[in-house]
Amino acid sequence: MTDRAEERLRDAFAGAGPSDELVASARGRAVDAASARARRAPRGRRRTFAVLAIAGALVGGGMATAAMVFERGEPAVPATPAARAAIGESGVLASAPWLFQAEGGQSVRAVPRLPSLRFPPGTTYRAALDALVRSVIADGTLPDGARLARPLPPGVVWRRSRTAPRLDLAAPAGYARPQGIIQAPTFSLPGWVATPDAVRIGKALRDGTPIGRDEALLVTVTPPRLAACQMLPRRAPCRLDPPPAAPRS
Amino acid sequence: MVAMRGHSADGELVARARAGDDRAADELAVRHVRQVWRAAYAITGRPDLADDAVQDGFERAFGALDQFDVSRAFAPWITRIVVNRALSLVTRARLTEEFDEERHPAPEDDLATDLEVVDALTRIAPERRVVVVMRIVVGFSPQETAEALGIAVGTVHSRLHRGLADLRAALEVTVS
Repeated sequence: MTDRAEERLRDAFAGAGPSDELVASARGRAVDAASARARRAPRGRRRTFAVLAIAGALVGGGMATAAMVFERGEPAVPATPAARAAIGESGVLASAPWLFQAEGGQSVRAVPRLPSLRFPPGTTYRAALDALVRSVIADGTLPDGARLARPLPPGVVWRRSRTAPRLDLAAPAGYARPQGIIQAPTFSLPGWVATPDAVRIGKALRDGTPIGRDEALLVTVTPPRLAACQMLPRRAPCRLDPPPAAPRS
Repeated sequence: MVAMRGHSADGELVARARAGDDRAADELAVRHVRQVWRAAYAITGRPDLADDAVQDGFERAFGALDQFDVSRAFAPWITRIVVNRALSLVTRARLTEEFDEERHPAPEDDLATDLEVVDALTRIAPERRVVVVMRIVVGFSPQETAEALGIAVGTVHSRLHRGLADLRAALEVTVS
């Protein structure tokens, strides 16, 4: 026996469906994953090699305690040498605070607003962040298919939209609350990378030292747990501590 | 198409995909992506989270095809994987305040679904919500739902009964 609630429930989702972009993306992922599984050694266990990369990000309360090996002005990411040069020449990336955390994470309330990056329809936050970070560390450029757009409202990292999703260029990996410290991305490597290579690339990821372009392209980004208040439409305000006072001269 | 002996309807495609046949993997994905997306959307109440759940779930499922028993139905198996992923995403994105549609309107391109029902569904306890979604939204039988979730058929019935009661209550509250 069905009742009104059941009917409404059934009707509510009867017309709902994924976008064409999502269908295409899911098909691609399915084929890639199945092919990769078929290529692997028989019954080989997939090894997950996750590396917490650039320090300087805070989780919860506490101080930025990163072991910094960069000189001031050097990107604190494991970019290729060519990418580092390109970042320095880029009008936007050269001032992106998430790339320059050598002296500790900066407060999202204290950094200048930057343009946002508009992605093609159907792009998810995970895909957008991954595309941005990989493009920056491999080539020092913004990802193909993305365009600069007006800044997002203060505190917003990701604007959800099926037609025009946008990512904040100041803090694309979000920020910790309540300090508002801008988070650095977390990187990972696929399990099939040989152990010596994984160790070597992992060290470069931790230290932020230059890596080759082929190695940079192996890197994937693990998306952070973005708070609901850091997305549009926003369902909750982000309550942040006041930014630290500027030192008196 | 005649299924191979001992294989379910999708079992032959799974066997071919395991052997590296990309077209078989693609066909499997096409067959199931819409239904599992609908389930993920019903679980999360958000299209963007449903997108993430489907993409992650497909990557996991198709990367672990050798763990699938080809004598069983594929739909409950992949739906369970995606639904579990959807649940973990929605738990992470747990809101700290009640959604206020007056203050925060939905995106201009939101889906043409009954948002009141979507919202009410997300207020049901996850273990009941999953059963309601699999039975009512996806249309699995009690047996398929029980198999997918690894619970007894009787538990499916009781969770469905309670979940629908919760849904009715949530809709009444919403309407009033």
